Amino acid sequence: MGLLTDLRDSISRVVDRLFSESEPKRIGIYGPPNAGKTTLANRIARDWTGDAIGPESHIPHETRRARRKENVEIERNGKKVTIDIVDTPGVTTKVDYKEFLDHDMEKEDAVRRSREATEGVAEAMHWLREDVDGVIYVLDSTKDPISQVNTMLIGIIESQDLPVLIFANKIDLEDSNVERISNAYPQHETVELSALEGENMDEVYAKIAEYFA
Amino acid sequence: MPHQCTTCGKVFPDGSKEMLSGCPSCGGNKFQFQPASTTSDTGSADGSDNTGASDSAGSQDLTSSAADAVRRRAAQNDARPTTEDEETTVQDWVNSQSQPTRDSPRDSDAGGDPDSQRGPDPQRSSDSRREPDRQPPQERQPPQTRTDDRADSKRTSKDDATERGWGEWPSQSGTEPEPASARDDRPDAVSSTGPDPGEGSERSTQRSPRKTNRGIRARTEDEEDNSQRSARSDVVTPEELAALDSSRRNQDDKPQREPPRETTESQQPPSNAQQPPSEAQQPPSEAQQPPSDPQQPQVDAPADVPTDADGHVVEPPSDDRPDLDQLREELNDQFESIKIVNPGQYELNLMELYDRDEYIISLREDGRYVIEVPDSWGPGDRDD
Repeated sequence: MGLLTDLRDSISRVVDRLFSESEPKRIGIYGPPNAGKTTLANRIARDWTGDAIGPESHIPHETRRARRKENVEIERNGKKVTIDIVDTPGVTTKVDYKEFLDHDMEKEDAVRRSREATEGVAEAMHWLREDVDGVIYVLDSTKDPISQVNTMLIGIIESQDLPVLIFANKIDLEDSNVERISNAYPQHETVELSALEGENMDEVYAKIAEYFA
Repeated sequence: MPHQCTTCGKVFPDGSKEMLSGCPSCGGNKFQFQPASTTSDTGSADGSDNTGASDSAGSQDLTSSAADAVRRRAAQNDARPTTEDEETTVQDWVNSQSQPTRDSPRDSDAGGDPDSQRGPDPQRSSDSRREPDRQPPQERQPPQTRTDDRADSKRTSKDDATERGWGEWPSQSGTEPEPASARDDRPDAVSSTGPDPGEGSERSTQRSPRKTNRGIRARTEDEEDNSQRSARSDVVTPEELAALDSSRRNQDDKPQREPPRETTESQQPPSNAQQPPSEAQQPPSEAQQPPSDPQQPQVDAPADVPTDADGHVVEPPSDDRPDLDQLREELNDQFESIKIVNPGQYELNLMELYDRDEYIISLREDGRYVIEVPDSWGPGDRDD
């Protein structure tokens, strides 16, 4: 029941926050697996608090539980915003342990990871419904942005009237194609960046301060 | 408890699956359990094995006779006092049951002889009828006093469900409080005949025990008020009656399916494209059903046996089928939020996950999962 209490608390926190400008906004970092969500979350957290949020990995579904960094103060262009960053597990419609076997993982571990990843997706979806005030949607700009997951999630976010920024990540990679993303979701602002290399982070913070202030 | 075909009188040993596809001798699909009440009164003398059986049989006698009494009164406007009625009924029934049951198969008891044959009649036909009201307290008491055969058959069906990945609740019921609470709520569900069949049927899923709690609470608060309100002013339209009937049917289906395992299986023979027919319905009932009801008589109550918890006249049998199909579809839909294809392989329905009130905390092996259901708040609260 502890969890229930937590959830209830967090809901009331959200409700409180709606009436209080000073309370930090909870910004969920969403996106498909391996888009660079944790890398971005760590980058933001390190830049503004000095701490990281969680381990990054090239193996998908490294983040299988939502992680939160609270009271991250971001200031840009005279605008200041305090946010809680929630790094969420990558959202997908299929989880298959075989995917992990390619990464030198034993089957048993892969199956467990798969199960945890599935729980993570459920958790992420739950948070999206209950507990975020805004969304940073991270996409891997080397991949086709039009997928069922992206379309559905962005649709849900829109239906919630949550402020959303689309981040086209991994622009340091050769086959990155930011335009494909901005064309796919023209209704939202797309910011390109490389969370890993720290490219274009100035604009990232400016947009965060502007959107979520 | 052995079973007996009501048509030809063939007796099946306890735990027999033979009758799941109908009586092999005559093809009949109505069975009664061979009353233990004959032995129940003498049970204590028979040995320790009978003790549990006699206990449960005794309580069954009580409940069935009570149900019978109510039914009789409803049918006849009989003005006998309740207590006297019940007392007589208990005794009569216990006594009368032993004789006619053994000798003559009860072939036509679907309500034709409310007074004289009240023993056998309630035993079989009102069995499912009284379940919704009586079952929970009854079930809870002697869960393990059943014979091993019964337990085996249960286990088998549970295993079936396990293989299919979603019939796990019962196995957890011993350790987790939820199924019990689900059981507690079930009578509410019956009593609050909300006018929406869809919601009622939703409850019959694996996951719904907890969801049920919330749904039912909401329903009793809201809809009972509505019905009271409308009862004061509105005139019932035929459409409303139809809706109410179908909702009641859905609700009845569930309890009816619950008690006897075999009932579930034989009740759903055809028409589930996605699942093996014999198992089609079992997981839901298994899932929803804590395993603690083995003392329920395994009377086969096929789908066409009229059942109504309130003692009302029920639909003609043919109407049950489409409803069951519909119910099954709804149930299947509900399992789509996370589909376990294989161990380690999952398909997720994001919309379903997003729409759910329950929060899936952890998946377990073999398709079990643990959910947390918010019970006092919901999306509406957020708008405040």
